Amino acid sequence: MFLTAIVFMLRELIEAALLFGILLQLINRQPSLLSMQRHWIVMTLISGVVAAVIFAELMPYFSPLFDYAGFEIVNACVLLIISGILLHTAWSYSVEQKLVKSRQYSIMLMITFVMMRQGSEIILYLQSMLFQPELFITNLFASLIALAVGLSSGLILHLLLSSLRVATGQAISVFLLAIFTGNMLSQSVQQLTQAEFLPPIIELWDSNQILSENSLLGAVLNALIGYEATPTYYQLLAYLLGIILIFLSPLWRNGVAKILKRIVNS
Amino acid sequence: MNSIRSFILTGTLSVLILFNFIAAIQGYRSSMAEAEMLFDNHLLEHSQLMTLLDFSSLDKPVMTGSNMVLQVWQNDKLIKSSLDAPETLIGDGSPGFDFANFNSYRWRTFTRSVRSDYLIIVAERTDLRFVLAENVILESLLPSLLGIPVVGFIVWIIISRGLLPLKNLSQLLQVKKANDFKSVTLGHVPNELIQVIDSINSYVQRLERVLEREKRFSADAAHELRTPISALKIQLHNIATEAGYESENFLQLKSGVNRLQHLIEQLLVLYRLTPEQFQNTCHVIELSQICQDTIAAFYPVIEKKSQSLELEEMEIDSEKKKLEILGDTFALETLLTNLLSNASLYTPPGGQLKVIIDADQKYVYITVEDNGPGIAESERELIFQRFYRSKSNAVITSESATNGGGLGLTIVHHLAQLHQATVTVSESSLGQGAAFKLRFPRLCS
Repeated sequence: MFLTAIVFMLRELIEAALLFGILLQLINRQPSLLSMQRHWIVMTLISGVVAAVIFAELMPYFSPLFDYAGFEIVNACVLLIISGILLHTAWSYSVEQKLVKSRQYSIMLMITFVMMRQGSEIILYLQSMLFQPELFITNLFASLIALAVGLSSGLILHLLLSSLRVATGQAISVFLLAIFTGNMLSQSVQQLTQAEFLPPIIELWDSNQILSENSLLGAVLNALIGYEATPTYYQLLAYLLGIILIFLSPLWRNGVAKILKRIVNS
Repeated sequence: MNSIRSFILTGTLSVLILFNFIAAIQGYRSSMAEAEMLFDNHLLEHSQLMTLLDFSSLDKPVMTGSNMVLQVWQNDKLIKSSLDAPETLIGDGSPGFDFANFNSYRWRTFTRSVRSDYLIIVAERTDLRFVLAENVILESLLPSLLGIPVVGFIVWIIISRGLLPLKNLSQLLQVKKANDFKSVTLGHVPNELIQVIDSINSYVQRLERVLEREKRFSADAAHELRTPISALKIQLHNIATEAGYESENFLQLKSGVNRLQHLIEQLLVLYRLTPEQFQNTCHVIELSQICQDTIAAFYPVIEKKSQSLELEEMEIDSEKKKLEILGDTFALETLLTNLLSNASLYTPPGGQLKVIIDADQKYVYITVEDNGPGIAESERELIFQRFYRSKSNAVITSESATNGGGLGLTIVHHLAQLHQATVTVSESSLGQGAAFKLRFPRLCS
């Protein structure tokens, strides 16, 4: 039970913590790429928590919709919105400072959505713990450990990226954002397939024997790079599409790639 | 992250927590595997014990622990069982460890074949063994979770202690005055800071030498430049006396020399009033008095152009407190003289000049205004730049073109900054012209 709780919590927390770590690095080290003032970061975190609580409360109303596929549909929509904002931020990138303000709101909105999605699942899980008083301490212990591991992973990533040369840090950050976007799109496709909005397609492979999705490492890799033991064609396509779109965007071409080129030339 | 302490503390604690908890999770997994083996051995021993019993002599049900059941089969016939055991065969009867579901629970089973016709099956509830093992393991892991705040506190103390010399150095530099050229010394200097302190001390010594040279240059330049110009002016006067008249070319030469003298004086003022020197001569000054003194000294110039100059002190508070600021007398006199000179220069003869002293709770204001041509809004920021001359025709008079050096307002701006004051330009209240408003921080008496 302890391990199951940790795996569940880690899957939710690491994703949000890593995204926050990457964005914080980009905000702090390269204001021209992403800009956000400190009080806006705090505001975003607060709005994320509030949104998560509201979303968790509304979840029972969503579930019966669309022939009881409401949960999957709503989840897929949230994932698509997150991917959409990420792509919009990357494609609306311009060296002009005028766009920085609107980019700041986009990032705020995206973090709020990520926190809402992951946070609501954690809240529902914690609520379910109340119905199992005999496992309360075990679950609480697991939650605290997962929270500590998730937060420290995000912070370590942020500190590591900040310790690198600005251009290298940015390149890795944008690369991780590209993977995150692919992951979000792939997950939304998975949710839509589960809701039978997309036709079920034969799985590409089954690597459960090598690394189970429900194992600790599987959960961490799922949060990090979107590891799926049994992906479908649609999922793989969505994953690759997300990554390619970020690398084609002006954020990479005009922002990071130019800085890297300048360094190589100098 | 701007603080070294925060960076090290966050980084250290994050790594510590991450690896500590990953180790704890790994420890939990291996301990659970160990516990599973122990429970399996327990089952094995139970079944071993059962083989020692004579089943045919037992007429009561076999008693086992609350979470364990037992079955003894002889040739497909259940001959003995514990109270909670089902009537059917547990599992498929193959010897060894296995899992089975009955009585609404999942059970871990061990089947042993004895003397070819007996089958002993011992089973234990998996959920109970799981909870039992987990409770024991979690209790052993609990200190690692509870210990994190303690570890964090200890790490924080160690980092703070380690960074103390850096903090002391920073505080020492913060309180060091601009005119303090003593070497920086710390009680105990760690190896990492030796080079930093040596470099700071070396820079301070070089700065002291540079400032000393600058001071000497300033004094030498004042003497070396003023003397030949004074001699030149005497020679000009003698030529004019001898010739009996002043030709157009002569007047231009005279005006050029006057301008050169003015420019040198202004340059020397700008040079003399460095922040370092200002710190030395800074004291409490009563503003009303210094304004009166400056106006009195400047009055001959005003009189020569038949201009009027009025000093107006606003009713500030009922207690008639003195308006005091921290400043340097020479610098403030220069500042006011420059503003008055500028106002007089650009105001036509017979014009009007006014100095207003005003204050509120936090600031003291001095406004110097005239009814001259005024300053275009586009030029109000530019006029404080060195050698900037107004492009406006209305402003350029023959006198201003001759006597304006382009440094007067730069000096005003520089001196205002030295006094932590601001200077702004606006429309004059005298119908037309410019108003220069100085805002000084008020000294509370």
